Amino acid sequence: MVNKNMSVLVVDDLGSMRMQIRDLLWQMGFQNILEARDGNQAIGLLERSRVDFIISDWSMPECDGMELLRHVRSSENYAKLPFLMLTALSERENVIEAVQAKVSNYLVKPFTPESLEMKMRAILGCKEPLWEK
Amino acid sequence: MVSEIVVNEFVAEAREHLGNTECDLLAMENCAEGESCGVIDRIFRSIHSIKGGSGTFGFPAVMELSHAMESVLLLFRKGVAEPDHEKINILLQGVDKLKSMIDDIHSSSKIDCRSELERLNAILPACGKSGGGPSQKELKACSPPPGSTDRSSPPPGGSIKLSIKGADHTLVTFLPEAGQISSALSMQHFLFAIRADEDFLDKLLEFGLCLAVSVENRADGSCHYLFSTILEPDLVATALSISNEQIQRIDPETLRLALIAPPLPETAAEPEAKKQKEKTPETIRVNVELLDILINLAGELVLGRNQLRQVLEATVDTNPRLRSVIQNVNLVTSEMQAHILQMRMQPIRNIFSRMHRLVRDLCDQLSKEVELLTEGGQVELDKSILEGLIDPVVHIIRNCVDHGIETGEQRSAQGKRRKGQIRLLASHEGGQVSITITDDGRGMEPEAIVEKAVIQGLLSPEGAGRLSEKDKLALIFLPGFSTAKTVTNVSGRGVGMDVVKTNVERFGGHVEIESVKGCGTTIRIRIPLTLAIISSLIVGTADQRFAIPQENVKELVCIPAEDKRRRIEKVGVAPVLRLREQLLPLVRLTEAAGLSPTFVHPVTEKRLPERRKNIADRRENPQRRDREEDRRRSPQSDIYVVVLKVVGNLFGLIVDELFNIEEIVVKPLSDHIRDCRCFAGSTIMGDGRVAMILDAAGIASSAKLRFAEVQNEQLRRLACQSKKQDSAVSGVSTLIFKCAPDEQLALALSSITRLEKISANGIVRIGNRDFINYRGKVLPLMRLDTFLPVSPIQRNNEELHVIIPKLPGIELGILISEVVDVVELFSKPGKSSDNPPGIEGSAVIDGKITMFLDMEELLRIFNKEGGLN
Repeated sequence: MVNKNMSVLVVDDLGSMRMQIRDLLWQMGFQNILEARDGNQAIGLLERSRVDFIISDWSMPECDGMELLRHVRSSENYAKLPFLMLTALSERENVIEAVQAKVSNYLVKPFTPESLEMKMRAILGCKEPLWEK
Repeated sequence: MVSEIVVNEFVAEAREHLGNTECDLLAMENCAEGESCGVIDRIFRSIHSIKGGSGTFGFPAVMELSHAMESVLLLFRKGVAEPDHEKINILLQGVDKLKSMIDDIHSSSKIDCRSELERLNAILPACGKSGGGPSQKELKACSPPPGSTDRSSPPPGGSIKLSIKGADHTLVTFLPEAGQISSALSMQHFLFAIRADEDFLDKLLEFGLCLAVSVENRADGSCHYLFSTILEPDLVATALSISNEQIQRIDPETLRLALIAPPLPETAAEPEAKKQKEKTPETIRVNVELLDILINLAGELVLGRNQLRQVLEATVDTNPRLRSVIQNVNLVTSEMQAHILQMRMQPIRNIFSRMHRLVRDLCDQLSKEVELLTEGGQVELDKSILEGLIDPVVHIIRNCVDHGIETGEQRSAQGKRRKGQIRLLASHEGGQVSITITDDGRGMEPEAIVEKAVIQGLLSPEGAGRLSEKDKLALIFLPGFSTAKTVTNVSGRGVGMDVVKTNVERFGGHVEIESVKGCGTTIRIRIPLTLAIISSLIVGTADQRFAIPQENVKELVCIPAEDKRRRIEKVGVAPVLRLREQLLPLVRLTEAAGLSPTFVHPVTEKRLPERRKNIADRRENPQRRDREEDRRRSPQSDIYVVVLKVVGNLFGLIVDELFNIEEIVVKPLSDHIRDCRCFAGSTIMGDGRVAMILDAAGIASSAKLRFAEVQNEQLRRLACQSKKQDSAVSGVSTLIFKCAPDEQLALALSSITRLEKISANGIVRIGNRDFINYRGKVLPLMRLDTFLPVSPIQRNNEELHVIIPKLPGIELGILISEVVDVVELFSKPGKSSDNPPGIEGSAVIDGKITMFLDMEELLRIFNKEGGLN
């Protein structure tokens, strides 16, 4: 059973995208959702609060998703943090680069609510659907 | 389903991104090769964001177009294509189309963007259509590959035996940990048997996990790895740089069956920590209407605060705690008001950015070359003002490009740079924001404008003569004025310039214009920083109160009744005030506001109607002037002048009373009096009465002040003065004073520290020397008659003055009876050998012989006589 109290950090420079993901996460029953506009803000949040799961966009101003991923993987506390890259970059080399950087999984935009749920389920290794209703 | 809120947010964000993209595209075109990297990245990101969002939220048409644009941008980024004028044109058209789609997002699919797509796709090289169509790639479960499972029971220690067909179609056996397998399965990893060399392990670990190595060893030293990864099957070969023959996909079902007793996987869920959810600093979009209500309420609150303060003022002493409460309310109100006003502020960059596009499009249309430079985009303005500014600025810039800037050939022929330049500059200027639009085009000819205005009957030929250059140019702002077509040697501007003026003045701004023929034209728009609440000086006249915006007030001058004659003069028929050698035209507030003037009777102190028209007192007869009951000399007849600043000119406004400076809430004028040019608005005072807010520029123009005439007079005087100066050193401020009624003495102001008024009783005489108590110290006094051949101070003088000269280390006062004036002297006092010691020389000032003191000599004598020990 997935702990729905886990705190999920949504990183995207597009506010509407964050809103959409947050809505979906709510529908899955996740209570603690943090948001960040870019990698730098996300890193700041990681330092200040508990984060159990990251869903991050790739291309963002300042510090992009890949930089964030590398930062997370190289840090002591968060090396194993589930990290879902949610990106419209769909080229082969992008995917390979992300996997090489030890992304937990990736999802290509545009995505459906179902595909997001599936990816999260995969990362969390959970069999039951995450949807609340 | 995506909620409407998310869609609205997306629309707002997409607009923002598109706005930025437009600017960036224009910037990219102008910046040098190699510098454009950052800009391309930004554009790419914006379009990319729109693409990602539109697809997810269900707007495929937007996605398709943005994807095509993204592909083109990718070519720039990779350096495959150059962002030239033509390609940027196409991208800009794409931006336009995206904008119109975003504007009507739910019908975006109905908007035809085929031509844009075609043009964009045409840029993409036929071969490298990198991601030609919108990518819909999603990770899906793949069809089960062939494979078999050994159903033997799991060996002890949690390992299972897995025998499957390997990449080389032989049977391969793995002994992986059951836990690892089930974990990989639950995480939906893809599993492969990969045949490779022994040292391939490191490469594998870059992309996933190796769960086991095959038991069998091949003769060629290769072995099989049980590889678990999130990489899609079709990417594995690429990622690992191996051939597809080396890879064998393992069906997850096969593995599931292999796990006889699959242990429950430990998931990544971490122990619950009771931590508060942290909010990140965020912006939210607020309805402007709501903001406006808030601003109005804040305004009302300020009014209420003012009223409260006034009501409580009387009782504040009876209850000491009241004061701090009032102060607190005061502070909070002011702060709140400031913050609320801040909410409506937006950087002017928002409208500047549109102008780049405008100039670019105009240039294409008119085949001209113009670059637009902007500066001060960070200056913030109220949103409503900002919106109101768009039209005037567009109009002015259109005129600049259309009429101001010459064609490239003309410019080259004149020796100018081929490319015209328009500078758009915003800056803060004493509580106002100034927007300057300068072009380096052909400029305007004032005479031609005047001629045209006279022909059009907007100006009488006599009136024309009195206009300054600036006033002449300003004629183009007159409604109905047009130089278009008929007057060809003028730039043809003025078309609709009255609309510009009206628009700008609607929110309290001013427009002015300067032009040098052949060199260009500058149009300056000045606008108040904010509309709602302004700091104002409250003045009164004829029992009415008025507010003057603080930013218009340069200074306040009080002219004592007896000085009127000296300070107020006439130039032509207009009264002017002489203020530090500057002549300021004067206007009575009563006249400007259309009130009948009043005065306070010096004896009865009643307010009576004033019949006198002249402000200046021109009577020469000293006897009459000295009559005590003459009200022209009573303190009630002192004149208060508020010196107002209007676009570069100063003038004096005569008011009867001066009150406080207050924060007032601007209420718009009601429709009935909107045409009254003297008022900018109205406000409600603390006592509930209405006060009109004066519009300095309106007053100046309705009083038909002739700044040019006054300036000419001033120049004439300056010329006279400099003529005088030729024979002198330079102007020396000199104090003229007296010890005895008929003897005038002088001392340069630069050698004086202070001038103190003392009472004769305060002088203490010890021996033959006088002292006073000056700032807690004993100050020895010098009586000039002791050392100089001058008359002594008369005994009956009760009020005396002490000059404290600037003498390093020496404290000393010179006793005098009367201070006459401070004058600027341009000639040195005449020296003669028979001057007594202590007198430097003499001169005639105001018709009287005046002796100049020699301070150093005086001090020497004073010391010799034992004046100082």
